[in-house]
Amino acid sequence: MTISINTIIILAIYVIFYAYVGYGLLVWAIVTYKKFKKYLWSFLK
Amino acid sequence: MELPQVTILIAAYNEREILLEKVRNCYALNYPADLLDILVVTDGSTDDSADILQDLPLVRTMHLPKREGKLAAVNRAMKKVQSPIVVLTDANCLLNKEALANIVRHYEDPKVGAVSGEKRVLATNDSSGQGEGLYWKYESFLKKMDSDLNSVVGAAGELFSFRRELYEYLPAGIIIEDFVLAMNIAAKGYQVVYEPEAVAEEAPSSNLAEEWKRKVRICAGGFQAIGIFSYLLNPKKFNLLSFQFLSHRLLRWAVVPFLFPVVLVLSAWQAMHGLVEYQFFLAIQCVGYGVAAMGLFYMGKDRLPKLVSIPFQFAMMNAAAYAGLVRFLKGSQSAVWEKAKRKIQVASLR
Repeated sequence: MTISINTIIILAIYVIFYAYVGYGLLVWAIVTYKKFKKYLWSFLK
Repeated sequence: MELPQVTILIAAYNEREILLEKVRNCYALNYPADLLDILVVTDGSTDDSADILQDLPLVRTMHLPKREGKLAAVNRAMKKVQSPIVVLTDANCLLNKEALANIVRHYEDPKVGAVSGEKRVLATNDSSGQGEGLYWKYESFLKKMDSDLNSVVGAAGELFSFRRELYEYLPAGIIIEDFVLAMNIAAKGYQVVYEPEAVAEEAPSSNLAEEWKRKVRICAGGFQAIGIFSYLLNPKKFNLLSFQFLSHRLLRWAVVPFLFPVVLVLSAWQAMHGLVEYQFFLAIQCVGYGVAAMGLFYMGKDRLPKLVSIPFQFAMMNAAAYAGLVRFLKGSQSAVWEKAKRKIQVASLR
């Protein structure tokens, strides 16, 4: 019982965090990686 | 790039006080006058706002006595638009000089279907403005990231541009038409770009009650939009857009607000069973909600302390989802536009 309630709470906190902060960080990381890759590629060429 | 003809479309309801200022603002835009067309629709207005615009150069007006909402007015006006690029902007906001040039340059890329500008809430000491401004700063960062990744999910109705050929005549009853218009274009496979250097400045809501009304309307519209665009939740077909719509909109509008009470109740349950870490977690939540609730005592005051403002605005935003859901389910949210009352006009804040 304790484990399942814990799981629900952790999942709920994860979703809240993802929606407000995590998504922004994730997209920022992808965009930064893409820009860096593009820059590196043009530099190596 | 050869500059295209642009129509600035303004749907205004009883905006006589600011309409002339708005038109002057359009004249001041750094864009060739011979490529500019200003179309003002004043449907339903009872303040003779259409009359004050008569005989002004570049300005065309349309007026019907019946008030049917912004979407109906835009639908009607779109039939009179010939320009390949349309810029929708609200009457109560003013644009920066380079706004149009910054928007139009994106259309050089044929994959770009629409461009969303930046809404900026001008700072005052007013309580409702503080959180609104802070929220928009974070939203602007997210929009920039979304735009760089793939496409913006939604658009600021204060300043939104699109290719005329991509405009879809929406049925009456759409609550947040700017969002639906932008998503329709994104769903067709075009990119909706965010341009932070095209700015629409507006005054903050006059008080927290007005701000609440605005948030509830957006939430009710959000639930409606989730229904309309549920087909986007197919990652095989819509790829990144599907992921963005789920993460940025669906979770924020329809899931997260309902998780807060779940976390509160379940952690209280755990705390009651003597789990120390949950007693601590519950205490943190109670402090957060307590500080947010303190905002209610400042509703009549001129200024909301910063410490209270952020949790209060955050709680209000999530609470509005409940009221929005009820309104959406009852079908009682009017699609006729109800602009939040502004304490002062934007021109006086510039």
